[in-house]
Amino acid sequence: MGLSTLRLAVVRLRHQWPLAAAQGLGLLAAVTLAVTVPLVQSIASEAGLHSVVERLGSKGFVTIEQFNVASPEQYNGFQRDAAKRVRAQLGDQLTPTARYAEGPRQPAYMLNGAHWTIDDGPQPDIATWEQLESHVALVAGSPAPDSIAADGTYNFTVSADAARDYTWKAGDVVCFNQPPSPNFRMDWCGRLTGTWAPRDAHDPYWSGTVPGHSLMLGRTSYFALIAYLSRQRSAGSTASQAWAPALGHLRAPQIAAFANQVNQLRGVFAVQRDGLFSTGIDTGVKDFRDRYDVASFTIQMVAAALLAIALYSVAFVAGHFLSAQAPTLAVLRGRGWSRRRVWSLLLIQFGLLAIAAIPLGLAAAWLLSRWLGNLVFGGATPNLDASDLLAQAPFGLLLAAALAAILGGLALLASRRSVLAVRRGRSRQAERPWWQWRNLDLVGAVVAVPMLAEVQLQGSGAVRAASADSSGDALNVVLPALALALLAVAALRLLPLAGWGVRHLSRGLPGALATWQLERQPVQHARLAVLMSFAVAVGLFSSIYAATDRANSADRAAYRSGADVRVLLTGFNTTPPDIEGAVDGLSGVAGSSMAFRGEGSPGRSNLNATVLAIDPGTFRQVAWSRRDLAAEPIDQLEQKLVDQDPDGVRLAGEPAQISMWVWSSGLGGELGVDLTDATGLPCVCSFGSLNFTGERVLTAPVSFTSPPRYPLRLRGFRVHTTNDGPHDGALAVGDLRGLARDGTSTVIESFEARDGWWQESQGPISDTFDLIPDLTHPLAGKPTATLPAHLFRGTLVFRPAPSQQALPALVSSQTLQALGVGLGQAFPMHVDTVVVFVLAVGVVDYFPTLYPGRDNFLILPRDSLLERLGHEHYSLAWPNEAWLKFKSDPAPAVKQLRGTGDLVDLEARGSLLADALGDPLRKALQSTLTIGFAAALAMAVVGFGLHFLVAARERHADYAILRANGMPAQLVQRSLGAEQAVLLLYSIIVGAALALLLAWAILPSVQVSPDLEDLVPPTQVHIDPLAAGLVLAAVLVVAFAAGQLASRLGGRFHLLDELRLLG
Amino acid sequence: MIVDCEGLVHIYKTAELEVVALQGLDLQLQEGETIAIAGRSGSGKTTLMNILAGAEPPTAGRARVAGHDLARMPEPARERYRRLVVGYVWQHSHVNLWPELTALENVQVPMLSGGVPGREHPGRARRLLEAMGIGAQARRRPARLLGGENQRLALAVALANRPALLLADEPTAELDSSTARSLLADLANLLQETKTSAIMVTHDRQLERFVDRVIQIRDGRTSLETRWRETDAGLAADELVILDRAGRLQLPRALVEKLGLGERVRVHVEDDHLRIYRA
Repeated sequence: MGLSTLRLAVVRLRHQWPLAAAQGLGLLAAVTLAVTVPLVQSIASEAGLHSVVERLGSKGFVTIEQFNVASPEQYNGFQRDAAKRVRAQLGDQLTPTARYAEGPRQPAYMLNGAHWTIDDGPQPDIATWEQLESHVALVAGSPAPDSIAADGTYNFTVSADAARDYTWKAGDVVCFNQPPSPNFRMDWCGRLTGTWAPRDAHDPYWSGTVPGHSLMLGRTSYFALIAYLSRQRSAGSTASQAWAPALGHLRAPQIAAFANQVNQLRGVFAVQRDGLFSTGIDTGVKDFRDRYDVASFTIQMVAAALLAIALYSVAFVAGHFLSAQAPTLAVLRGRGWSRRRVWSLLLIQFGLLAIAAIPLGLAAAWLLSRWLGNLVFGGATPNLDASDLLAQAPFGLLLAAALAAILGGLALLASRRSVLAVRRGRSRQAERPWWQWRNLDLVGAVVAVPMLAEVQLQGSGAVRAASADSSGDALNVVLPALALALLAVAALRLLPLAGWGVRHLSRGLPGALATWQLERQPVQHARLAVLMSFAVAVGLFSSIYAATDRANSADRAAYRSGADVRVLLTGFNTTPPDIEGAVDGLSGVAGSSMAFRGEGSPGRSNLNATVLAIDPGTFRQVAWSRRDLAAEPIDQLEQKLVDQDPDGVRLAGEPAQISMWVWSSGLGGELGVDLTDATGLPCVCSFGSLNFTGERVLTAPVSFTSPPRYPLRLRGFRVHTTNDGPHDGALAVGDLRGLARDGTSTVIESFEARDGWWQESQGPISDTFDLIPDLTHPLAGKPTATLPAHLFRGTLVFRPAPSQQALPALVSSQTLQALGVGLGQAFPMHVDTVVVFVLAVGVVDYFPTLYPGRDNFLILPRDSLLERLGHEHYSLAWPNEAWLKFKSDPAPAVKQLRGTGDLVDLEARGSLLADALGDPLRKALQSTLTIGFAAALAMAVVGFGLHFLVAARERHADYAILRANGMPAQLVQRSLGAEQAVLLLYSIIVGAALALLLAWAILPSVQVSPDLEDLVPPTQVHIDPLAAGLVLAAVLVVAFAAGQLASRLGGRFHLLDELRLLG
Repeated sequence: MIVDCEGLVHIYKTAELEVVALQGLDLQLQEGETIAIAGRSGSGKTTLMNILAGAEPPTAGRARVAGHDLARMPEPARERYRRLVVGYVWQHSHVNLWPELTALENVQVPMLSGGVPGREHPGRARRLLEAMGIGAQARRRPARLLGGENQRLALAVALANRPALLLADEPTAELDSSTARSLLADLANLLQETKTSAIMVTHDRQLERFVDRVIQIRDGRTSLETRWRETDAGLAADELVILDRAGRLQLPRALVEKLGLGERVRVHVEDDHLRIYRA
């Protein structure tokens, strides 16, 4: 039988199948990893796109409208042309949903022959919707025939909701457009033939909104009516065509082109044809694209590092594969085989392995990514098809080129070794490894440090550049992997310490034997040590990333919401929102703090700043905070707002009660005094009902929820309405005193003279008056302050005059810098037309809900600011935000709050966190890391086993001599075990150090989004000890088991055969 | 002349040491001639074989084999030389053979690069195996062959490309006497038939009977040569001290010790010979 080089290669592979299998597995793992990562990324981008489009809701629909479409011909022409244009531009990326025409509103004036009007709610309009019957269910009556009755009555249907609102029923005849004069008749009557309800309100047919108050006519009737109405004046009929995004055909890679084409359609319909083109899909997907670009950089950076490890593993296994063949290759060279021929033989071997590994790797990647897609992204994942795999072709070619370069290079080196080189290499003393030539490794380590620093910088730089230019990314993407490799190589300097370690850890003959092996050839395990260190580093980094991501996502959700739940409310015009009422009815509230959020402009600068006025006493109990938000703890800074607040009246001593002389006209109200303690904790201490006529001395016990810190500050009085008396009358106050526990009293305010006290009604009709003492209701012949009490206008408050001193403010460092103002400096701030002087008493870099980089902001004491604003007649001077802390699941409360009429915005920490953790791009990065760790672990374990299999085989001669001298076989095994244990220990130490270094360098700059909400507050690295321990245990246990198995297999030999070979 | 070495010097480095393995060795071999090289360990035998095998060039001196100047041969030519001019049998038979291949395939391995058309390989390999007496084992792998058969196979592999010179390092070291004799007899016949020259390194005295000359190497130089001549009583060994081309004479150590010769001797020229005396 003839022998060929191909057959020789096949036979050799079969002969050394463990090595060949290991090599094949290495290739398989590399291909699988290399293809899975981009496939998962592709799935993530598709899932992300789906998620974005779904979240767009009605904004995701494309609606094209053409005005003044008054005839069926015009209507048909528009529909035909619009559909053709959309199809030509966007193909099947959009699906048609509805075609319809809508006319003007038709005020009703007669019902069944009797005068009847719609006084409350919208008047109906007229419309005709194609295929309405398919999307609605009749509730009553019958569909409207598309005809006009002999008496000129039109037939129409309405939604059941509209029928209920209008109190119509099937069969009713309604007339519209009462003629203003006999010469101007646009009146018409219609018969309601039936009512309907949408089969599915979320049906894309409705484009997000069911036309609830439209009179639905047949098309012919509609245009006949339009023609009738247009006799007097243009009826303003608008034809519309709606499209929904076809998720199955929208692909992330083409999304930029899609957005561009949508925009071109906008140009055609909205600009050239003067129609209306409304959609939010192009801007929505553009935002997604920006996030995708940023996330891609990070994912690619991690993938590059993982791929580098995979390639190294392949090289590592190939090294053993070739090393085991070295004697054979040397003999071939000795027999005159040319280098090229030997190289060809090796390339054929690698090629055969690749032919087996690449299809398997592709198949494994396909299955793995599908499985991961379903696992991570659930049903939202689009199905992968062959084009997805083909899309990875450039990446695959790059990988193939890298693998070819690595394997070809190693094969070339192996083919150059002669018999003499092989023989002398085995007997030669250990030489200095090449990577330590002229301390190359140490130089590399020194270079790696600035590389990691550069990675930190580039992380955020990449975000900034992402939208503009990503050309520099290729180098940045590989920097971490390169730095990691350089540091791992430099760490090999510590490897000789392993010998020292064995000597101390494992006593007796096995330890001595292992020590001897490690000291004789310290570099024999170097490549394995690097591989194992990489595996540990990847695993640990993955666990640190997961913990960091989880913790920072939670922090960012909390930062964005500020508390468990934050609601922003606004009143109707100048009516204060019933914020306390909204909160009072909620279940599970553990604490609440009301705040004011508005806009201000410091000085005459053009700078707009967000003004957040908080009540420090309650705020710190409910607001989220973190130590690194400012140079000083936020609590301490907030205390400065209390300490340096100049407003209110400081009460001397430690009053236990507040007493005041009060004259009441028998008001239906309750009088309370607003006090705060030295920490800002509030107390509304009640004097009780004012439903008495005449004068009384009322007392209010000072009772805080916890023992107060003195001195106390009196901020004012308020009268809440009660239902036990009239809400209009008068009130007189005098002789305000603080009563100590020992009975002594201190006058706080006599109200005998005018000294700036003022009153305000907080309600729809806001009014303010200064309190002017007079003798209308004298107290022992002395003047008292009489207040008109118009409680129907809202809560009545009266307060001492605001101080002339500036209000303390915490200012963001960015704002201070922009203003050119330093700490301790005061400046005026304009809130609307009111000027408030503020004094910068503290600097905060970050403050919950406020984003440096987007917002300039100041934090002020709430009560003092609102008092000053109210004093200067600012119409919205009341808290408009509630920060809530819950002791139980806030979901029911959130649902309840969403139904509040005054609600403007609601942020719930739990929902934000769930959204963040469910972000497909974030999941893609986690999946990449998980796949990477699994692959790295698999390759490391294969490498570890293979290495000790080869090592044990190569030592047969040594062990044979020892065995011949009486050493039991178990000692060989135990000595190998000692070597393995020390190597693993080394790998864990070095790998952990590398992981921590990498985490420190990369994690602060790892971003999956350019949005500030996903970046602020800055990343804090977190380590989950349990996860980290599990990773290390996994590496340790699996690798050691593989090593033991391999050394058992490799350590078996026939003693006499070996001795015979030794001569 | 198939081999012509003159003043061959070879120095190699091991760790920090420089070892002078050959110190001006002279060696000539006629076509079809078979010689054995003997000498103690470290005398330079293996170095000489490596040089003649084209594995490495000499440091100095002349080494020509079948017209190839081994001192000035580029690597491609050296590869061709190893492929076509010499066949080498390394000391341990397992080194020479591929355990995963059958005997027939083993012999074909060198042929793969030998410039012989592939279709001729099996036939040639089979003939070689038969000539070496192991034709019946052609389909067996080395592990299933006896020690002598493996060594025969190793020789067949070395002769696969019909080399002009066969180099064998201890070809009988792993064999018992009778197996060794049988193998050597078959080898001698084959070499004679193919007119192949051979140099064999050996410590085996019985091998000396199957070669034309036995050359002793000492301290990197040829020292004694034993030729066989026909006498009435059969073959008799004729031991000669070698006088190299520089006129150096290396006396056998036993003779030096027996005569008590020191570092200086007196040389008297007689009519047609020299006399050497203690100084």
